[in-house]
Amino acid sequence: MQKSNTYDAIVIGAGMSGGWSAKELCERGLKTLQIERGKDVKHIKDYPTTNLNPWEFKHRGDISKEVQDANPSISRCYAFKEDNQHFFVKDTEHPYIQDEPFDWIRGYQVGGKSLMWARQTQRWSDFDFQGPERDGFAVDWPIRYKDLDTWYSYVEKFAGISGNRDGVDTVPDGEFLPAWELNCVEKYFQSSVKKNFENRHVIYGRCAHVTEQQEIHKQQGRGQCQNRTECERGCPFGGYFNANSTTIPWAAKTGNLTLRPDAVVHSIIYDDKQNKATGIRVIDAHTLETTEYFAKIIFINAGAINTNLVLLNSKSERYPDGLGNDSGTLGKYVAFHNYRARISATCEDFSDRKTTGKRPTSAYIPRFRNVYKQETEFLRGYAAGFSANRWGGRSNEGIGKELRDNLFAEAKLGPWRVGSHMMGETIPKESNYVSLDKEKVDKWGMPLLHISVKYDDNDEKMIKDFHEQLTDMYERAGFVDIQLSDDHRVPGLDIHEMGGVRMGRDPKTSVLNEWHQIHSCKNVFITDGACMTSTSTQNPSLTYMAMSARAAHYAADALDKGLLM
Amino acid sequence: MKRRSAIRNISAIAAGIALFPGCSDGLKLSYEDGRELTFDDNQQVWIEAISEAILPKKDLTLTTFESFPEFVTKMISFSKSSEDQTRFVNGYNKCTEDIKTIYKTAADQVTPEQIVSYFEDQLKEDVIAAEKLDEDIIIDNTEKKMFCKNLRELAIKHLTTSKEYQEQIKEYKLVPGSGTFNACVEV
Repeated sequence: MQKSNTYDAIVIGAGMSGGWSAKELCERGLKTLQIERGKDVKHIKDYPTTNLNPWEFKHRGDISKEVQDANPSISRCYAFKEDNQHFFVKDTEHPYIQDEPFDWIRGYQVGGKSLMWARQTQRWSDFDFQGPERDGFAVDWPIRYKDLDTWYSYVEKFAGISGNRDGVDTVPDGEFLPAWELNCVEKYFQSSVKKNFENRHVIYGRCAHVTEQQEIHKQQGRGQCQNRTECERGCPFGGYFNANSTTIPWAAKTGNLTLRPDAVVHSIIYDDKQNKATGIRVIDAHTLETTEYFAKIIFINAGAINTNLVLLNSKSERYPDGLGNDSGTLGKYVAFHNYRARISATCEDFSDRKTTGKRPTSAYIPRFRNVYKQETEFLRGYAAGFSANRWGGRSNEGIGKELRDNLFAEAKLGPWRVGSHMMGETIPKESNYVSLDKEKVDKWGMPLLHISVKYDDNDEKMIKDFHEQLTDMYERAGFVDIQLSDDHRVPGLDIHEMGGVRMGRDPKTSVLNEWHQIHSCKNVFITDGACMTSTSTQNPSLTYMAMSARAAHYAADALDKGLLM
Repeated sequence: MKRRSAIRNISAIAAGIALFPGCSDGLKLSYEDGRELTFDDNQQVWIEAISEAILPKKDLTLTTFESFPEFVTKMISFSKSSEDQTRFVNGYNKCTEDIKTIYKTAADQVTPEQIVSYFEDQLKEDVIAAEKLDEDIIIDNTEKKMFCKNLRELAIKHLTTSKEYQEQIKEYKLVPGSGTFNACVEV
């Protein structure tokens, strides 16, 4: 049994980062087993709504009251609609315990959340990697930008990232495909900010869309983005990056990949005599039968919180509190992005201009607070989106003939509306943690996870500052009717949960080293959001991709050198 | 596409259709949790008449999943709580009784103008402070207003999500194509 279940490598999870781990390991010639707890989703074939028109949706895009009531967390997610509800984990099917309110948005399937992600891809810089050391929180990252630079380039070329070379030091330039144009109001705001503020920038929001098909995309079978903006259904053109269209088929093409969906990982098997992990225990999602698989190296890419769950549940004589938990930090220092604050306004100029067509991105304001020095009462800072739109609308006032005439009238262009949302860094704290329930288990026998994560005073101060600073930027641009809001969303809805298995230089205060290996169990690698020492402000997926590729190559090299046998 | 040609094109597809075929068993949708909404033939005639009055569309061919009464039944069952479904049905009953009483006529004889007039009254803001009314009247008014408001919204949704409206009025394309975004054009 052991022989037939033995591989060179195991990758747990088939989403954003797991896809990259599997691709790189397979390309390096390692027979790789990729485990996914959810169903298989084949590119195009398993995108059931991708070619449906609005009138072909039974409920015109709505989600039933019954589903909303039963699943309040996912119902609060902007992307959860009739057209892609099949890609979201229902709260009720996979319960967890909210010690503090937390909307956990999950995608249990091959492709994971890479199917429904927002596709924003800004690089980190050294201002981000140096943050904890400079500002005295969390622990120092064991890597710097130079360690990831070439890996960012590597994944960008393969994934297809649209962007401009902006020359902004907080978000380094990368390997970009052509960008969509910013519209006239976005360009105006860009120049207004440049004129009025030192070290503040408005740039194009770099995104994982193929805007000009390269040879590598042809080989992947992916075409150019067709401006549908229906991305979260899965794209039949492969116009945006997801694991289903890109990394997993590429890994499969090597002949080295065995993909095993519908398999829930229970724990990592640790051998006290060999002082290393030897395999994993897996529960069949349907039959509940347990199987063990074995490999020389194991990558855990289960999604930040589930990676914590697997490690916490991997107890042995050597690791009574979870695999690799010598420091006692496993499950702790979980952080996320603060998306609570918004600002909107009207731009009264450019009334003779409009846009036509659709574009799957907008503008981006990189972090400008506390970048070069500490300048506020709160730590760190925030990035922000920026978009300007001019909608053509029809009145739905009236009744009878008047209503019909209104609905069929020529659309009237409203004024330009502008808006920004905050993407704030939260500070990892020991008091923000996940842990296992001692008694309650789910259908698969896995302990239920407690999540205890909340905002703090730093986040509140940051929201106030975002409102003040963005108001200033908007006013100087001459925008009027400025509206501020704080939607008081609970953590989780940003879908950027990170940490719990943090990287660090010191095994006494961290779980992973600079190569994403567990300090004391070096054949286990974690390259998803769980590894993050701090969160900075950028959407994190691009960084997970680069980290996964880098770590996978290191692991393959180490195996070649006999270091992980 | 200009408004008039869009309307003309929609109208030209067919000279009108019977949107609401009779259904002797009534129109019923059942859900797994036991919820049910039922409209019999007579009620469907009323809904058809009301719908046509508040948003005339008999002369249009609309490609939708279902007739308007079916759409109403489905969406109310789907998107409202059991309590709100009950209020909607009560509102329906009270409104149709009101119309019959006020205009002393049956469903197939009430004129669109009469229905529009009734709906306009129902959709107006309350002019009498709630505390001056009996509790029963407040409930009656709430249910009637809810029915009128919901039915009007659904009539709009049923029309505006049809294939013809989406393609000809909203100029919707599932695949716009690369290069179709223009960042700045003259109005």
